[in-house]
Amino acid sequence: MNKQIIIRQTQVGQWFGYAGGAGLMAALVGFIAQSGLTEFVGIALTIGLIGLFFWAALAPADFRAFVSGRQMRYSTGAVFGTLLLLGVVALTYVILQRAVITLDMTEGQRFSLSTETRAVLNRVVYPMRITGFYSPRLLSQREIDDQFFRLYEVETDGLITREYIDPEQQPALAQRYSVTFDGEIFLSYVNADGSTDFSTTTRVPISESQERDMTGAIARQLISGTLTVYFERSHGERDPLDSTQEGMSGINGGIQESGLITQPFDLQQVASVGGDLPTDASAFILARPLTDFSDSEIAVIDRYLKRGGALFIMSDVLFNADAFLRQDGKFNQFLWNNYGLRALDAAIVDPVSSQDTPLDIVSAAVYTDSAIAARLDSGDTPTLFRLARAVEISSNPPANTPNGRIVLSSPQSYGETNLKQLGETNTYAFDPEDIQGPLTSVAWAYNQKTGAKILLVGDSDFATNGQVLTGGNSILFTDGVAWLTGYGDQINYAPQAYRTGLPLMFVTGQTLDAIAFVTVILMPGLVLLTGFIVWTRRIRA
Amino acid sequence: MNGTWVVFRREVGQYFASPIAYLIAAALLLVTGLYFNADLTFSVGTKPAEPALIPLLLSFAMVFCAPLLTMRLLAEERREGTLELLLTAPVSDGAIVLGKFLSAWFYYTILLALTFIYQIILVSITQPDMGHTMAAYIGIWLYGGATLAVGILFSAITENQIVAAFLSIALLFILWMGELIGQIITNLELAEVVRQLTLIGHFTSSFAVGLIRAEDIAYYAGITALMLFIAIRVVESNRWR
Repeated sequence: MNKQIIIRQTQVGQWFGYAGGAGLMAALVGFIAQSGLTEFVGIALTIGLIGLFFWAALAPADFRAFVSGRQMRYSTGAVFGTLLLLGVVALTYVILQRAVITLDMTEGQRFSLSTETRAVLNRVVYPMRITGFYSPRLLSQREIDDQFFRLYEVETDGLITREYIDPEQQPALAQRYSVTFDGEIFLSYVNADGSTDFSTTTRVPISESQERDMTGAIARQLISGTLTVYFERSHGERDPLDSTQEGMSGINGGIQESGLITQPFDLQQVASVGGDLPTDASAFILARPLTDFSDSEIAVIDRYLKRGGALFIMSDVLFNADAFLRQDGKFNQFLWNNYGLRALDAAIVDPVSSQDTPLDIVSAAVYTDSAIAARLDSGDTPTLFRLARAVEISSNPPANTPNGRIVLSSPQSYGETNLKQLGETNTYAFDPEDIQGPLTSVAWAYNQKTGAKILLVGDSDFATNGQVLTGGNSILFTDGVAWLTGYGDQINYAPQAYRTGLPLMFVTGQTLDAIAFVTVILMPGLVLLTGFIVWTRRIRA
Repeated sequence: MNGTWVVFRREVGQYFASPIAYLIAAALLLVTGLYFNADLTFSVGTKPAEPALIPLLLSFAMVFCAPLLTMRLLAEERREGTLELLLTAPVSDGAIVLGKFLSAWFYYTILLALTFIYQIILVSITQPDMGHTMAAYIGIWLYGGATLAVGILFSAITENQIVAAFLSIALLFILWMGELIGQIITNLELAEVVRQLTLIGHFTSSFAVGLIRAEDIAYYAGITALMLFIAIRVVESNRWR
């Protein structure tokens, strides 16, 4: 039998009363939580007053009884009891929120800091700030990120703080940080007056490895300004400020973003006055000088290396008579005698491991046992060199100066020694004068006594703006610089990734069908059958 | 406590003697089963299993399921006049409300346990992050308790089950909308405060990502306690109104 639903005016009035009471309560909570008459408090208060007004208008007797009668006594007790409980709940919530008591249940401990990160955070001495730009649309993401960022705040006892800015409400500030997308994170040092030191602001990369991104950014901040890399500029080298395809502004910017300082250096001029490389030079980059070095210039480099300097040499196949690092040149001889490394006057031709032409060589093998090549993989991240020069390492290097290969061409490759013909006609063919592969294109040497390091790459195109993002070229450059400067020793750690490496699922169609049968038909069907049995038994009873 | 136990047993008995409870369970399993299979088909060979898939679905489903499970608990007693009878029985008002709430929560727990079948399937075909899954299940269990408490409150307020269910759904839907609050309110601070008040805001960014926070447990426990306390006061008001 259908029963009619009757809603009385008094009931509607009472509902308004409940809504009004809830509004007033929300206003009270908001007033306490936000310490003032905010927009939220205003809205809640308005709802409360409107509710009470309609309650009084639609159910006057009920309202009168509430205010003055027996109901008032009981209901006042109930309201106070409710408010008291609300207060206890709110207080408990706030206390627990500030206590930051969490249990990370994820398999990869995604919301916990690794020991490597803690070691980095122990080195934080000056206040830093994590600044996140989130619009209200990313409120949920912000809260997830915040749970991770607050671990850094807790771990450093507040030396690292966090702030969140709405880029839509504060566009000027967003512009100052050069915000490019919603949810972008920055890290800066904090001035004594609590303001952000914008000269130290760096962008925190966002990948699946949240901990590595943030800890890496902190580590870079910690060493920021302590390492300086000099670019030699007096022999027609590639320009680190040139933003064309042939320039090296990309790697220059990358070095700076890593917290290192880059400076130009005029070797010719310094050598002419008997000067030296600056004492703060963490590495000296020779980005394809066109002409070879004089004795005085070699002397400058020698003195630098003897005090533990680091040299990054990029040498192309050149066709001029006084080409840099020509095989019989003085500088090449210097490297061979002191470090067991030298460049050969031979262009690598690789018909097997190459791209467009056999001169565009792709790394066929990589010695990943060195810090420089640990992240290089000839399968996934091969290096690509255009017209690369063969490099030789001595099997009998000077005492205390081990050396090693990093990148090799295929066994089918060879070193074309007829550079004149190659340069004039762009033709090449294997003949008895050529060098049989595999050939080394990247090699290193390290003097254990002085601490001098040399990285010799038989190509410079790989680090140009046009090529640096190809394959593992950028890895070779950045990890090479990191090894030379010791930067890698300070930021190298392996905290867990955002995703814990959970395996992908691979199931057959048959298995999927079986799962669908069990979950969509069998399970609900069994429950329905049980319900049917219960129902029929009930009817019989 | 004895009174609570008596009411609890009576209500649990009613749940399992009613075909409606089985219908709800079957419907829920059908929906979760379809959702699970759709995600599974999509995930094969492309991504790892989503550990909080079912709890996330239930966080929305409970907006509608909780009122369905609780709407009759007190409203029916009042409508049929048995509430007065119950109030004269040697059980306190608190025991009545608590017993009924616990029975609904128990039934919900059984429903939740039935969905473990999906986890068993996942374990047999891949390596899901079980810690993450457990956190999500603990969260949705507490979340469910809070939604049921809201349902009980509205069931206590009105004698009409439909009205009770409608009001519960309306409030739970508003509380569920917390996830979208940032798209509704442009003021970040205000949106944050509102989100802190919503049920979903304490689930998606903690339990659902594998993190258990004391404040979220306190929030759900607090909401549940508050709703039940008010429901008890409403039932109690029958004595003096």
